[in-house]
Parts: sequence; C-alpha cells; structure tokens
Amino acid sequence: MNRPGTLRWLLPALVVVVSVGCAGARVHERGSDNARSARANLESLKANPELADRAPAELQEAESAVRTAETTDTRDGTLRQHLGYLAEVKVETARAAAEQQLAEDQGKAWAAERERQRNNLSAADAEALRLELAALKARQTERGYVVTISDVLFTTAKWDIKPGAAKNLDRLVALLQKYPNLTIFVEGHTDSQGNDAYNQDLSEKRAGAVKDLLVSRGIASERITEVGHGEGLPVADNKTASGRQQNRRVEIVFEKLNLP
Amino acid sequence: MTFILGSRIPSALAAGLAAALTVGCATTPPQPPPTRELQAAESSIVGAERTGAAQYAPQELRVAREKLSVGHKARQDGHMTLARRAAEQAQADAELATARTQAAIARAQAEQARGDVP
Repeated sequence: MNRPGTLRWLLPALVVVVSVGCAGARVHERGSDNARSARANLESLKANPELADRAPAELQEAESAVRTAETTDTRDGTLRQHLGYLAEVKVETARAAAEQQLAEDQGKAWAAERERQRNNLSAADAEALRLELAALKARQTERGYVVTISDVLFTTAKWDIKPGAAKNLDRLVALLQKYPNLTIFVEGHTDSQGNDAYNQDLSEKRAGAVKDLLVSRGIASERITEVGHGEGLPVADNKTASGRQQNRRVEIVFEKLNLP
Repeated sequence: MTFILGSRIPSALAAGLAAALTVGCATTPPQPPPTRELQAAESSIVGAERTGAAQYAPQELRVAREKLSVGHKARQDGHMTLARRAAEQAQADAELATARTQAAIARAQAEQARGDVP
C-alpha cells in the first residue's frame, strides 16, 4: 500500500471531519458528492435499454439507498458520506446484476442459435416448429421438448397401440416428415402393476411399438432411439385406474431442442 | 491505521476515515455493539468467496475484508458508530464483489455459447 498516497487522503478528510463533525456546522445539509454521483449512475442505468429491466430487485434497493443518501437531513457530514458511499456501491451492484442477466440472456440466445443450426432449421422454420410443438402440447424440460402420448394408448399389460390412438401419432409423423433433421427419443413407461423386470420389458415393448409405427409411416429408424423406463417415472397416482392409465404412456423427447 | 484502504478507492477511504474520526466527538450517544451487522458482513464476504470473487473481483473482496477488520477493531475499542458503518460498508462491498463475479462468470459462459455456434 502506498503510504504517501494514503496521507494525501488523510489530511483533507481530517479537515472535513473536524469542521463538519465536531465543531458542528450550523446548517443541516442533505446529500453528498457520493449521493449525487450515485444518483447520476442510477439514472444512467435506468436509461440503458439493455440493463434497465434486468435486475428489478437490485435496482429497487439501489433506488432506495440513493434516496436515503439524498434526503437524510443531518449535520453529520460523515453520515452523509457513509450513506452516499452505500448508495454508490448499491448502484454498482444493481448494474452488475443487470449485466449478469444480460449475459445469461445472450448465452441462451446463442445456445438456441446453435441448436437451430444443428437441426438445420431456418429462423422461420424454428418458429413454425415451436408452434407445432405447442399444438402437440409439448412440455419444455431440462432435456428439451417432451410430447406425451398417453391418451388411451395402451391397455394394461399390452403394447400394441389401440387403433384409435394411432391417430394421435399422425401429427407427430407429419412433423418428423417436415423437419427431416430432427431426431427423437421414444421412451416407454408403465403403471406399477406387475414386477419391475416385467414392467421394464413392457416399457421397452411400448417404446418399440411406437417406433415401429413411426417407421411404418416412413420415418427413418436411425432418427429414433427407443428407451424403456419401466414403472420408475410415473406422472400420476398408480392407486387409481385413471392414474394408471396416464402412467401407461410413451414420451417423445426432442433432446436438446432449444428453440428461440 | 488498518482502515486505510488503497488509494484506488478514494471514496471508500474518505468515508472510512471520516467515520473513524468523528467517533471521538462527545455528542454521540452510547451505541450498542453492531453484532448483527458484523455477522451479516462476514457472511456476505464468505458468500462472495464461495462465488469466486477472489478470482473475479479481488479488489472489491479485499476492500470488504479490510472494512470488516476495521469494524471488529472499532467494536473492541468501543467505537460503535464506526463499527456499524464499517460493517455496513463491508457488506455492501462484498455484495458488489458477488454481483461482479456472477456477471463475469455469466459473460464467460455467454462467450463460450457464442463460440459453440458454427
């Protein structure tokens, strides 16, 4: 640490303190240079379109610290300076929080762009696909988009697809035909009736049945990976008949598909 | 004097000094020790360290630590107003260190994501 530099600060500060703090300035003052510069920085943050809305809680806290620094009515110059300092630091904290959020948003946008290119989609196609997935009631999960095909797909202990249920897969077939670079996981699940090994086998057969159906409609089998999960990942209560029916399902997972 | 902070942080220095020097004034009524404020500052500093502030915001982290030690010393000496203000500033500095660290990490990750795009 640089001692002469330190002394340069020590002397003026001492003078300020003695004259304002102890001798007692007669006039109460509000704000400080710190408070004014905190206000200016806060206003410039609020005027920055990329940052203004990205850290509302921190911005609120900064606003309140700046206001306190500006309005505290005291003859205590050191208190004014203290509040001004806190205000400055909180404004900087809000700025950093907003910059963090901005960077995270940009990172997500780049990741989405990368996915779009990986799937060989134009920006317009990506938007259309997003809408089509929404029509299929796809859920967005950590892994990617997941479409559940549960409605009366399988009878207990069976893996052949009920004739009516096959129509539910038509939309999926159309989507896969339209976007030939998409690959999917077809994942089978069972209810809790029967033992684990049996259900594991049954879930694989269910996944296989859906894969076969897709292949029979002209989807290349290399695009489809089948997986059986047994009874381990229920989505509903296995104690009721309707819960068990929901658990007898196949999920179509568009892994890592991350659309804008 | 341990509370003298680097000349690169003049406002922190001036505030710290000013606070230190006023305490002697007879007009200040007796204050309870700022135990809670000192603990809050300490845990904010630990939080900043865990986030990686030693790497990404070393300056802010150092200032926070120095002010915390000013605060502890002032409490021992019975300067409670200085102790409380030092603790409050230390906490704010540590939170700034955390925020700047997280921003730096997020920027690095965004750069990485950008680099992954063919």
